[in-house]
Amino acid sequence: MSRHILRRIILLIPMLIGISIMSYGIIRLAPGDPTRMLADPEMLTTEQMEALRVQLGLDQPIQIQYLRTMQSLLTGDLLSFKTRQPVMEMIAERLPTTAGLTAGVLIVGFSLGMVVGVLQALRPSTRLDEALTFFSLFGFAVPTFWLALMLILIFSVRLGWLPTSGIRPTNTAGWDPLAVAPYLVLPTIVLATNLLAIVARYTRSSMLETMGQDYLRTARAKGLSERVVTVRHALRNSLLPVITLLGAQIPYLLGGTVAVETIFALPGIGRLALDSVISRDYPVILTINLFVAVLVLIGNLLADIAYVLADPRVRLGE
Amino acid sequence: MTQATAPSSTMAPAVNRTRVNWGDAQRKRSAIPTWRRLLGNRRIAIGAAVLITMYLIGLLAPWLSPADPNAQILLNRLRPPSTAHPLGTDSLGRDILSRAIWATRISLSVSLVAMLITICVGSILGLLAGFLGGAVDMVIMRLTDMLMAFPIFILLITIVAIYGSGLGLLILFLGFTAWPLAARTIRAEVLSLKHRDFIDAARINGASTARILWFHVLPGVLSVIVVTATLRVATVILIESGLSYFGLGVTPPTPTWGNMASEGRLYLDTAWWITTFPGVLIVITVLAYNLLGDGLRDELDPRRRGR
Repeated sequence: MSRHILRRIILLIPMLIGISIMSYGIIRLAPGDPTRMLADPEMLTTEQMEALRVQLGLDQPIQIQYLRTMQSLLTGDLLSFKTRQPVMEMIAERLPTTAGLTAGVLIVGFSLGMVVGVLQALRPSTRLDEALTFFSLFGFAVPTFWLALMLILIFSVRLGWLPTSGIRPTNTAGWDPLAVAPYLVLPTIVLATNLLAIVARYTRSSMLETMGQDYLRTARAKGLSERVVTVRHALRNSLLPVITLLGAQIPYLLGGTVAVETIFALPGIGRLALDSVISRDYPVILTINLFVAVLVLIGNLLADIAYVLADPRVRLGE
Repeated sequence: MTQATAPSSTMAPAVNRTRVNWGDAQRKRSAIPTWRRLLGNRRIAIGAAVLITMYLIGLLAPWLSPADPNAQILLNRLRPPSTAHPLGTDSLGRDILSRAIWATRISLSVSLVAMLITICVGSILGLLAGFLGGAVDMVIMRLTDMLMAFPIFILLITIVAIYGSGLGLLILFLGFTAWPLAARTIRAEVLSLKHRDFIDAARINGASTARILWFHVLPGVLSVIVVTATLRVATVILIESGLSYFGLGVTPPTPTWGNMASEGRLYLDTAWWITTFPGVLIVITVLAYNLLGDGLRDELDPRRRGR
C-alpha cells in the first residue's frame, strides 16, 4: 500500500516536468516577441530593446531559458516580465480570494450534489428524479459567464440585494467574514451550479449501479431491512467513487474562476491568469499552469489513496 | 434478466451477424436498437427534436432571417423587443433575431467540427491504449493525465491569445484540447471488452489486431463513442461561448451565441435582451445535446437498459 503511494508520488515528478515543458513550449514557441508587449518598440532604440532582452534572458537558447526559468521558479525568485515582482508573491497575494471562493464552491457543490444524487437514485424514474435531472442538466448547460451576468442582472441590477464587484467594501481591508461574504455569494452560486450538477449526476448513476449489484440482492435476501441495505451497503459503496471527481474537477473549477473573477472583479488567480495571458507575462502564466497542475495531481493522488484505502478490491488488484 | 445473462452477445453485434446464427426472436432483443425504440425514449425524442429544429434554423438562416444580421441602424440601437424586432436590437442597432439565426449556423458548425476532431483523436488513442496496453497505454495515458491536469480553459485562452483566433484555428484548438476525456472513457470501455470470450475467439481464429479492433472492439465501444461525442459537442459549445466572453472566440461581426451574449455585458442595466436571448439559445442547445446523449447512453448500454 505505502509502496503504491510512494510509486505514485515518484511518478508525479516526470509528469510535472512534462507539464512544465508543455506550458513553456506553448508560450515560448509562439511567434512574437514579449519585449514588444512590455515596451513600445517605437520608444526604444535597437540597443535598448536588446538590453531588455538580455535582462529578461530572452537572448539565450530556448532550452537554457527553460532551465533557468525552472530554476528560478523553484527557488522562488522568478520575476514577472511586467511588474518585475516575484511571481510567487503575486500568486500568494491573490491566493486567499481564489482559495476562499473554491473552498466554498467545493463544499456547496459536493454536499448538495451528493444529496440530490442520492435522492434521485432512491426514487429513480419518478417525478422528483425527472425534475432534479432536469435541474442538473440545466447546471451542465448554462455557460458560466452567462449565468454570472444573469444573476447580476436579477440580484444586483434589478433587486439590488448583492454587490456586483470586488471582494470587500471599498476603503476596508482584511478578511472580515461578514464583510466579505456578500461579495462571494453570487460567484459561489455561479461556480457551484455546474459542480453540483456533475456531482449529482455522478452520484445518481454510481448509486443506481450499486443498487443493481449482486451483493445488494444478497443483502436483501438475507432479510436486512431496506434502510440498512441502502445506507450501509448502497450509500457507502456508491459515494466512494464520487471522491475521484475531486481531482478531475479542479482544473474546470479554476478555469471557471477566470470568468467569474473577471466578471465580479475579484482579485484572484483566475483574473491574474487572464491579465497575464493578455499581457504575455510568460513567467506568470507558466507558474499558474504549474500551480494548477500540482493541485490537480495532488487532488488525484489523494482521491486515489482514499479510494484504495476504502475499497479492498482495488487494493487486491494492485 | 435474459439480457444480463448474455452480455457478450449484446456487446458485439458484429459477431452475432457474421458467426452465430441467432433465431429471429433472439435478434429482436439484440443491442442494435430500432429507431422506434430510440425515439420512444423521451429524452432522445426531445433532444433530437430540439437539435433538428436548431440545425434547420442554421441551414435555412438565409431564408429565415428577417433582416441583414450585420446591418447597422444606429437610430435603432438598444431597442427592446417589439414587433419589428422580436428580440430587440443591439448596441449598433442590429436585429438580434437575425443575428441569433445566423449565429446558430456558426455556433453549431464550429462545435460539430471541433467535436469530430476530438472524437477521432480520442477514439483512436483510447482504442490503442486500451487494447494494446503496455508501453503504448502508458505513454497515451500519461499524456492524457498531463493534459487533464491543465486547466483547459486557461490553456485555451493562452493558446488563442498567443496564436490568434481565426475560425479554423479556433476549431483546431477546441478539437485538440478536449480529447483526453474521450480517450479515457473509450479506453475504459475497451478494457472491459478486451478479455471477453468473443475477442479471444477472434484471436484464436487468427484475426489480426487491426481486424479485431475494427470488427470486434469498435462495434462494442461504438455506443460509448456516440454518447461521448454527443456530450462533447455540448462542452465545446460552452467553451467557445466562454472564450467569446473574453473576445477570444469567433471574432465579431461574425455572430455566434457566445460573442452576442458577451456584447451585451456592457448594457446589462439598460438592455437586458442583448445578453439574455443568445444565452437562452446556448442553454437550450446544450441541454438538448445532453438529453440526447443521456438518452442514447440509456438505450445503447445493455447494462443500463430495462431500468
